[in-house]
Amino acid sequence: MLGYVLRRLVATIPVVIVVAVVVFLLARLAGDPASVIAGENATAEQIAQIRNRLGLDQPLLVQFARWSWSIAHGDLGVSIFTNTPVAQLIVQRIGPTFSLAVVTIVLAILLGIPSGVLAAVFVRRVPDRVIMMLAVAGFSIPIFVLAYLLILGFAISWPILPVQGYTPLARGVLPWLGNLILPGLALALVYAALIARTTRAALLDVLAEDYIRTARAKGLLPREVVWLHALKAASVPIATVIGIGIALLVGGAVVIETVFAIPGLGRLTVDAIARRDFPVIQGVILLFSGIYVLINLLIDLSYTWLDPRVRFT
Amino acid sequence: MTEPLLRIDQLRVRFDTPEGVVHAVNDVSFQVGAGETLAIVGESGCGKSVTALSILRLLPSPPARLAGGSIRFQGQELTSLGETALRQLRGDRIGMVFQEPMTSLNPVLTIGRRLTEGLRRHHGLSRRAARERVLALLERVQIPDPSRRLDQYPHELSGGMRQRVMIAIAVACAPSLLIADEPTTALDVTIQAQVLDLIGELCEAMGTAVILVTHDLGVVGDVADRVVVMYAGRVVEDAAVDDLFSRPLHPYTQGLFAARPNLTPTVAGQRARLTEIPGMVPSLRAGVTGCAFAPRCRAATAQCRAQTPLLRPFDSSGHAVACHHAGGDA
Ligand SMILES: Nc1ncnc2c1ncn2[C@@H]1O[C@H](COP(=O)(O)OP(=O)(O)OP(=O)(O)O)[C@@H](O)[C@H]1O
Ligand SMILES: [Mg+2]
Repeated sequence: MLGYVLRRLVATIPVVIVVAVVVFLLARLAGDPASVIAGENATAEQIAQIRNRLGLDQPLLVQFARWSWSIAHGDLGVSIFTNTPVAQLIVQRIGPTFSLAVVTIVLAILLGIPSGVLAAVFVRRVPDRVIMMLAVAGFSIPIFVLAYLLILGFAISWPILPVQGYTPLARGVLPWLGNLILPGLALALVYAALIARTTRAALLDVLAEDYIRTARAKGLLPREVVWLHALKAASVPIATVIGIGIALLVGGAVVIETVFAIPGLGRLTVDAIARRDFPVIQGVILLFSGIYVLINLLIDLSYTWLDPRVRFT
Repeated sequence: MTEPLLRIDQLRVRFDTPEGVVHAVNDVSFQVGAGETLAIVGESGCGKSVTALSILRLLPSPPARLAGGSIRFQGQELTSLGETALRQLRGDRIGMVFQEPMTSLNPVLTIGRRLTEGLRRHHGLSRRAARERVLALLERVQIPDPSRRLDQYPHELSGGMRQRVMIAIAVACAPSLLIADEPTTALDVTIQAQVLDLIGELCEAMGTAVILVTHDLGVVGDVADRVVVMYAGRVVEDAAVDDLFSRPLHPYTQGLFAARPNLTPTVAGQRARLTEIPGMVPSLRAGVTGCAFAPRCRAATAQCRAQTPLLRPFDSSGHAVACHHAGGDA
């Protein structure tokens, strides 16, 4: 098991290298930061000076080598706008994004799994039809439309929740949650729809299995059969789709943080791209890819716990 | 006469499928006395499993539908029983063993979890007490090293071992009736006899009656007290095992005996040839008029094709047959 984890981690090294190259090139594609820093009326000479200071006049290969070298030493570089170390910027902004992610995933699971179970139990009957219709809606409504609808509903027409902003957890669970419920919900619905569909499909497969008949022949209650015997057997695809959801969260978080004015990593990224602040862009994307790789590993490891037939050696 | 343990009367089961209604079980009647072993035999698709599963109402519904008849168990009518009351019978007074030990055990739950569940539900035992009982039970079904097995998963056990676990689950609450649907078909020949012996011993010790669904007439001769022969969803013959073996009355039963590969070597050291019953099992989609076996029967007459023979007593020993011509005359 430990050997497996180590091997998986080693296997991610090439992935990380490829990601680093792509991130590096993408950040360059954002455009020349020197002209942004220098302002509209700058002379060519001033721009050249800035390019020289940032090392942008060096060949790409040299720039990449320098950047990799410092990354390898744990140095993500310094923002070319605020002169703050990128690591420090990330630490400042990670709390709200992490909170948003946790609330979103919890909401998605709480909405998705019971709906999926209900749909499977009442397959092709009214509850199933309604839930699957809502799931299609959850897929097709863009996140920002949903966000504005929720704001309109629960913050303006019926003002029970704040419109925007973020309160750190340190100032109390309720204020923290109050600020995160609407953005979390807006973000969670699409994942809840995904989880519900997967749960339904996986559970339908399992409910047709012989061992469900065995469980019923034993005289168990239908709810014991479904929630204990069947759901556990269906958990691997469900865990997979939850993991994918977490990994996909990043894109949605950028939109939601903007709509709800949450000072998180998404906002940091958007601002950095607008300013072509490439050390920040590179740092944040690298962080996200690291998290992505880690989550994938955790999902795979969860299989051994969910399904005893899976063994990693 | 006292009421038998289980009495099935004119049972009818239909499947509503997109292609039409399947008449899977037609007017099936038989009885099982307390402590008795009844074998149900017949070709694949003749409705043995459907009959067995409908007793505890374990068929998927839809498509399955009980279209008529009565099932009385210990004087209680099961066909009209509510789900809750039925659930109290399942696994407690009536246990079931299924054909496929590979797929009939949930792969993600431990053996111990599954075994203790029924006991805790029906007898309200604590986790600890249930575990004790289960250990004793596993020893009784001859599973070596039972305390280790409790924490294992089905895939860690062999097929025979799994079927022993299935049996342990089925008899955990000492039921009055055990329904075993081809419990050994999926097992190695060497294991089959052991598992059957085990079922026999356990049920004899507990006074449990058994309904044994099987293809194997050899097995029937070894373990059954009575035999019900089914064909195309109907009972065609019902007799005590000795009567059936000494004097099979229905042409289909006679065909089954003839089709049995005789494994005892003949004088010349050769084995007797297997005589197949010619023809195919009829489709159960259309309600059959006349005797369902008539198209395959050498002795079939116009009457056989026109009129469905009913199961009627042939003699006073309780030997019954559904054939117009059984015993030579009409
Ligand atoms: N879910 C179902 N939907 C439609 N028809 C079904 C269904 N289950 C069983 N049947 C039909 O009922 C008939 C009886 O099936 P059953 O499983 O009882 O046969 P069996 O005697 O147990 O055969 P085997 O020896 O192969 O187990 C078959 O013709 C089958 O086509
Ligand atoms: Mg069968």
